[in-house]
Amino acid sequence: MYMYKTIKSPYKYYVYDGNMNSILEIEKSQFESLSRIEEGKGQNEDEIILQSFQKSGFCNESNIKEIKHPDTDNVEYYLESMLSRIYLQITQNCNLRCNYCVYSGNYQNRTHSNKIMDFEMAKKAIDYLVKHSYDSFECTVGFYGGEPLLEFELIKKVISYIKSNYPDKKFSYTITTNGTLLSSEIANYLVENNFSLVISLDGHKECQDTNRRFINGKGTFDVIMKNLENIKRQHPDYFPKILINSVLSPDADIKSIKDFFSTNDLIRDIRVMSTAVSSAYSNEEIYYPDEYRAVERFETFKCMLWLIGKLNFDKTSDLFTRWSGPATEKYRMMKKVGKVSEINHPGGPCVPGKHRLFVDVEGNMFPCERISEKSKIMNMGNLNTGINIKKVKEIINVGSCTKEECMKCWCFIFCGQCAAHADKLEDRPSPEMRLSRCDQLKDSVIENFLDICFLRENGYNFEEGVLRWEES
Amino acid sequence: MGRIMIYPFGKETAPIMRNINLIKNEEVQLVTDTNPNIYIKEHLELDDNKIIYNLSDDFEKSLNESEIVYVPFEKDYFSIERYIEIIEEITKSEKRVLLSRDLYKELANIEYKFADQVTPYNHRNINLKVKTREIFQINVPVIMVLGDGLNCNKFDIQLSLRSFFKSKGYSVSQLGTKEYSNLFGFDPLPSFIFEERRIDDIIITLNHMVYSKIINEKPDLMIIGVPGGVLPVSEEHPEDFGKFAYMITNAVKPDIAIRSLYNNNYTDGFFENDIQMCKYKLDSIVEYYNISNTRLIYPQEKYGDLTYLTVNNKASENYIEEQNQKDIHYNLFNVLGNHNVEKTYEHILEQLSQNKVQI
Repeated sequence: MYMYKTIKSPYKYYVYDGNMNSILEIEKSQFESLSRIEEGKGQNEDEIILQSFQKSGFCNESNIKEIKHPDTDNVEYYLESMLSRIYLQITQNCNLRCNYCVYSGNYQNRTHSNKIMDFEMAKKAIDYLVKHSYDSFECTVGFYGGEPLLEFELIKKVISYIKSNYPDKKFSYTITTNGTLLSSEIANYLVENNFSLVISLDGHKECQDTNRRFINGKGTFDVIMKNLENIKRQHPDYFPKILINSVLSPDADIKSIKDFFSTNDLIRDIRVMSTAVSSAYSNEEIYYPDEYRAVERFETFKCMLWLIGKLNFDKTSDLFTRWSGPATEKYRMMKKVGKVSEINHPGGPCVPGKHRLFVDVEGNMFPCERISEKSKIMNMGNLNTGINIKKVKEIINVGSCTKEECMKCWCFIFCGQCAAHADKLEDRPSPEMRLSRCDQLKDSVIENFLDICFLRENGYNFEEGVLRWEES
Repeated sequence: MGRIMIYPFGKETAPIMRNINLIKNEEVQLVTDTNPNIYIKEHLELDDNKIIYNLSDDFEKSLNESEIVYVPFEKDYFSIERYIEIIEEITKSEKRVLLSRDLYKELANIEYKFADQVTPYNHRNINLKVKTREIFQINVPVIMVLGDGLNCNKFDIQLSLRSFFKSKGYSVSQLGTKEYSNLFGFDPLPSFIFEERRIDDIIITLNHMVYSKIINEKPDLMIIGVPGGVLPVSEEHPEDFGKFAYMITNAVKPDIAIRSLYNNNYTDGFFENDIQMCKYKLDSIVEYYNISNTRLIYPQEKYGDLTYLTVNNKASENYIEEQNQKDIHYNLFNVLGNHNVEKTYEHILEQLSQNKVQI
């Protein structure tokens, strides 16, 4: 099995080499020969073409000899002295009942409950973070739920504890809220403490009220908009720093949502990011219809036109601008990683807990808030017992369960599957579950490669583009 | 100088904590923030340096008992706003405050109004008149400590070398990489080497300064620490391109060069290449390598920052023992874990003892 993938744009021919981790522009005849070999239909003349690439170090069999995550030997030190961010699940309760919520019962995860984190546990979590953050210059505490503002008094106590006990450590705070409880008192406090505030708002009234409703079934749109208006009036300097998170459900009218965010007088000046409904741990397959994909691709295309200077930035949608990112990110990754080393791991797993250690109400630690709290393999330990390093090493080396397939795969570097994608809530990761995502994932990587080729064909300079991207 | 309080501290000042036994204990009081400062204590344990002298969490009491407060600059750990709060808190006591030069500069840039008792940490002003551009030969053995970059324990090596040679009865002249070198009884590198001046002028001035120092102090040997690294870390992170190593090795040719490396996995050919690079680029023969307790982590993203991960002594020791199984002709040690240190320094002493005196 050769480690390459042929790609064709409307005008040119390419091959991505999985060992060298780079895309080559090739002739049509070369493309046809390499494609035939890929399909197992190569003739003698195709082999000659292949050999000419191989002489230059391309289109060879896989270099990868062993699956081992490059950070395996660093894990214990990261978790010993480089923690920087902790997310505290201060409550499992919520005042809403959203259709697609991962705690709604439609996922293999916990459901809403009245459990809250007690202050002693929260203090223990803060002490744990500080104790393990010697190599981090700043610590961030995130408040998460359920709806974290249901426990506003606990949030205040935690921050007061940090300020009086760790005045010399740099701290910042973040909160993800449904925005319904943002009274003036709460907003004032968040502003005073320079919280990074993320509010879940899916879009216009119809869209928001369909999915995000109070327990009594009433919609939340009007309440959130009123709260946002108050914040804008009382804290005009802080208001633009708010981030709106819009969850785009498969049945959403994506075009009208896009229009809402770009035209609504209140919202249009603040940042909006969009996320898809979580597919991890879902009881049912999450399927986005073609109409949705068509709008998404069109908006992404407009972002690329902006990148090559053919469209003004204001013609692109804030909701999708970041989606022109994958192509530039993939390009950066290609340049950064360079040639693939013999001992390596398919791309995807982060070092659990290093970037975002999630602590549930009972002090159990997980790699992030997206992991099912019922997971056995992803439970990294407890605040009382500490982190189980052996387990963490197994989590980041999840690719070992599919090593035969992964070691031969051209998409090795761009795989993007974390351990949650092989988590069936059993004692071991599931190879079948992991492999079931491969085709879809490879299609999306090829799409990104084509975007890279399109941008290159149109004279886009990625180095310069990165700077431009960051500026905007 | 009377009793000195040091506050606050982090990585930049960690060598003080680790080597406070080399200062007269009663003269220095280290103070942490109001909590028992678990992260620093834990970190010291990580280094296996479990004995902590004069570490207090009582700011008020320590301030009352001290005559001078030295405020080092830990720019990544503390915000400038926090430094201003700290300085204002200390100045209420009317104690003398010595600010790290970089911190002083940073505050001056934002036009901070310094109280009268606040001054930059003082350096002796070198006012050498350069009469000739000739480079003078330094006629005592010179040990030079070169590193990979930031946080690779170079100053700890300088201190332990000093301690070793003094314990053997030798007199030592020294120029250290930290501005607080005076606390340990020797001078820091002169501030002109950090100034924006012509490199050749810096080299010549430094050579003349070291030459004069040797004439005045008549030491048995000289130890010089070199700031920064010897090479750019990568294209994305060239750091200082190894300019200090270039300048200092041109000013003073070392008899013994020690390289301190990050605790990363090195390929078998690395040491051979590194020795050749130092020989031809810096005219320095490296036979001694410290494997530090810092692992350099390259960013996953092209434009990310370098990070410095602290690892424990065991990681360094294991690596050294692994290497020692091979047929190597360089010496490896780990200064923080005190692993192979005595043996290495004895070897250096032995090597220097074979020097011939040229008149």
